[in-house]
This record gives sequence, structure tokens and C-alpha cells, in this order.
Amino acid sequence: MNLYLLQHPQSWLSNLDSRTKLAVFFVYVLAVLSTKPGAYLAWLSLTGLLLVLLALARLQIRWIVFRLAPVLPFVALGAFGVLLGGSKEMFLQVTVKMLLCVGAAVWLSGTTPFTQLLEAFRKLKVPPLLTVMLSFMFRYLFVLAEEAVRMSRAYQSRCPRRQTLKDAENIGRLAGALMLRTYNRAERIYLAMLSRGFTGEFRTLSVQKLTFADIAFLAFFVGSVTVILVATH
Amino acid sequence: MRVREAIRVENLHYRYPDGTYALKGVSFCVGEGESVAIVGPNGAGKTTLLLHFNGILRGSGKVFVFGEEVTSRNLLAVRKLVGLVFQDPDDQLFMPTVLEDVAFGPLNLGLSQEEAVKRAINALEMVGMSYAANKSPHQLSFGERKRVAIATVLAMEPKVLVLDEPTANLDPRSRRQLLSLLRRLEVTKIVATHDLDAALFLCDKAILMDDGQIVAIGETREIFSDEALMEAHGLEVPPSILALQSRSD
Repeated sequence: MNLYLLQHPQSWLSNLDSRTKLAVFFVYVLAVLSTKPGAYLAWLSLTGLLLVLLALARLQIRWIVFRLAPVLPFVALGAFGVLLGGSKEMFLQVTVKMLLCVGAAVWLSGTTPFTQLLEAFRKLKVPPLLTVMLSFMFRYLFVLAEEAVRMSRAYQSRCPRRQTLKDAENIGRLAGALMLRTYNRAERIYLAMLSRGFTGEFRTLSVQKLTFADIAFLAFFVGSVTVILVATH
Repeated sequence: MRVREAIRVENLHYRYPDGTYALKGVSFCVGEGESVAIVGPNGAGKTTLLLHFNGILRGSGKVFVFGEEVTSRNLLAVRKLVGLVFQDPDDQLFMPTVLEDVAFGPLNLGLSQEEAVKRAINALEMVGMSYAANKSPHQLSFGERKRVAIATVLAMEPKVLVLDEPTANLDPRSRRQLLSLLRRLEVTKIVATHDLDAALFLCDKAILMDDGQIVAIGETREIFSDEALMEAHGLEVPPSILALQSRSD
């Protein structure tokens, strides 16, 4: 896979505080969701605004497509469901709103690494239990995936025949073994945390700071959204 | 001049909840500035013993760190003095980025954000990993993760560095880099390892354990040269000593 597709392209947006980008994302999503059915001019303006954001983030088209691809089938499924049960107008509205919101999520993921988002969540007083769980999930998802691949290879090398229903039982056992390993690892991680003075309160670094550029960008963005919504009302 | 005691263990016993006796009356002393290897076959109780040095496990018997007995009241102070590096760096590195991980210990010691970052950067420089500060641990090679794991402990400025199998699973170049890094560190070191050549390189003193007991304590080279002793406890005379012996013959 092209390494570029896995990286976060650098732009001046990269230097903004992740709270600013999270706020921009939520303001944009709320603005999209607040539009009424048939608000074509508003949708067009909001699409234009999203394109400006994507251009500012210096995200290339293939990067955007790469990030959109896993989500699009779900968008299509949702839209198809609405088409079956509702009017064409409703279908258009749901499809446009979904696409714009997913586009905004792609912009957020392109400008803000997950580690910075976690810091934003912490600073925005999201319950620590949730942020710590997300942080551990992000850190250990890769370790767990590698472990699962190793176990699967070991299984396949001792089970060269074509997979049958009988294998489902073995795969279930494999999943059980993986869970037990995860449990053991969790214990070792906790011991490592205790060794470094962990006493129950999760203290973390605060790397990002709000600057004048953050406030100016957020103010300009909120202003643009307000103008679009008022002008197209 | 009398060497100050860094770690003293007196008649330490430990039994796991499943009933396995891991330690059966272990006693020894490590002086400040010494480098001591703990060797022995699998299941000898090496890792269990290491986990007692900073109070992670608490068996019956006594463990003293710089003269102070480890109790539930002084755990934080003890963990500041004794830094433990686990065998698998994926257990040690649990934060999303390297810098956050290395700063985790200093923040728990109550240091300010600025001081924690300063310590983290210094520790990363010591292990030659400054370039990885903003990376996620999963983006690093195993050898790099190992060095960062050591940095996480160095950032707490411990007086005793305890390492569990530091060279396990490393390729020769990473192993060599890690060993010279460890040798440069001027702290008391206790190293549990199967890598006897590494033990020879790092430690003047060795403790041979088997079945939860200490079988021999003495000069590393002397213990490792004793073929009968080594074979009786599931070990072998390391190749470097064999080579020297065959040359002298």
C-alpha cells in the first residue's frame, strides 16, 4: 500500500489545536443536519465550504477516496433503505446529508491524528474512563491484530485442508485463546503501569495549546456557516 | 570503603494463587553501583523475584531498598528508586505516542508538565530515540520499542534499573546497541537473562537460581565457568568462555 495514504498530510491546519478542528467538525455537521428538505442552495454552499476545508488541508483526491471507500457502502445502504421506505426528496436529503457529514469526518481524520483527538477529548472533559479505553484500544488494536495473524498462520500451517464447518469450532477456540492472551497481557500492562507510579489517576501530557490562529479560524468558520444558513433560509 | 546496600532480600517466599511455589527462601544483597545478573532455567523464579524489588508482588520475607523496607506505605517512593523494564516492550508501552509514554512515569511522580516533557526528552536522547517522540509505538521496530521501554524507566531517574530479559528477540545489531547502552548507564543494574554472554558483558556478579532458590552467588565468570554447576541447573557454559578455555588449553 502507498505509504502516503496512511499518513496525515501536513498543512497549516495540522498546527491548529485539535479542539478547534473538532469544534469545526461539529459546527459543520450541525449546520448540515439543520438544513430543511430541498435546501439545494444551502447544500451547494456547504459542499463548497467542505471543498475549501479539504483544499486547505492539502488532501489529495486519492487520499480522500481511500478514506471514503470503507464508508460509502454504508452510505449507499442507508440511502437505499430510505428510497424503499420514503419519497425521492427524502432519499436526496438523506444521501446529501450523509455524504457531507462523512466528508467532514474525512477532513477531520486527515487533519488530526487520533492521538491528538484523544487529547482534545480529555481537555473537553470527556469522562476519563472513555478516553483511557479509546487510548488503549488505539495502542493495542495493532498488537492484537498481529497476534491474531500469528495464531491464524500457526493454525493454517497445521490445518492445510480446505476450511469446512468443522473449522468453525476450531476458530472459536482460537478466538477464546486470543481472549485469554489478551487478558494476560492486560494484567502485565497493569503491572507495568504500577511500576511507573500509577496510583489510579491517569495523568497525561498536554502537548497542544490554543492560539490566536485557532480562535481566528474558528470565528471565521462559524461566521461563514452562519452566513450560508441565514442567506439560504 | 563499604559499599552502600541498594537492594537486600531476606528469606523471601512467594506462592502464586494457583499454589505454585515460585520463591522458597531467597536471600541476597546488591550493593549500590553493582551490576548483577540473575540466571537460571525457565520457571526458576527470576521474574517473580524481580517483581518484588518494587513491591509489585509481596511475598513473605523482607525486601529492603536503600535500607528501607518495602511496605504498602512507601510503594511510590520505592518505585521511584527502582525502575523495572519488562520483557515485552508492548506491555511496557501503553500510551498512544512515545513522548506521552515516556512522560507517564514522571507525571505520576507529581512533576509538572514542563518538567515531565524535559525528562522524557532527555531519556529519549539517552537511548538514541529522540526522533521517535511523536510516533506511535506500533510504528517502531522491536529493537526501537525496547530502547523506548528503557527510556520510560530512565525518565523516572531510578537508582536501580531492573531488566527482565533485555536482549530477548533482538537481532544481533539491536542486541549490541542495547548492551552498549546499558553498560553506559551509571546506575545499579539487576538483569534477569538467559543470554549468558550478555550477562558476562554487563555484570561482574551473578546469582544462579533454580526451583525458586538461590543455588550460587559469586563472580559471573567464575559461576559461568563451572560446567558441572551450569549443567546441573539447565544452563551451559557460554561460548565466549568455552572459546577462552580452548585457547588456553
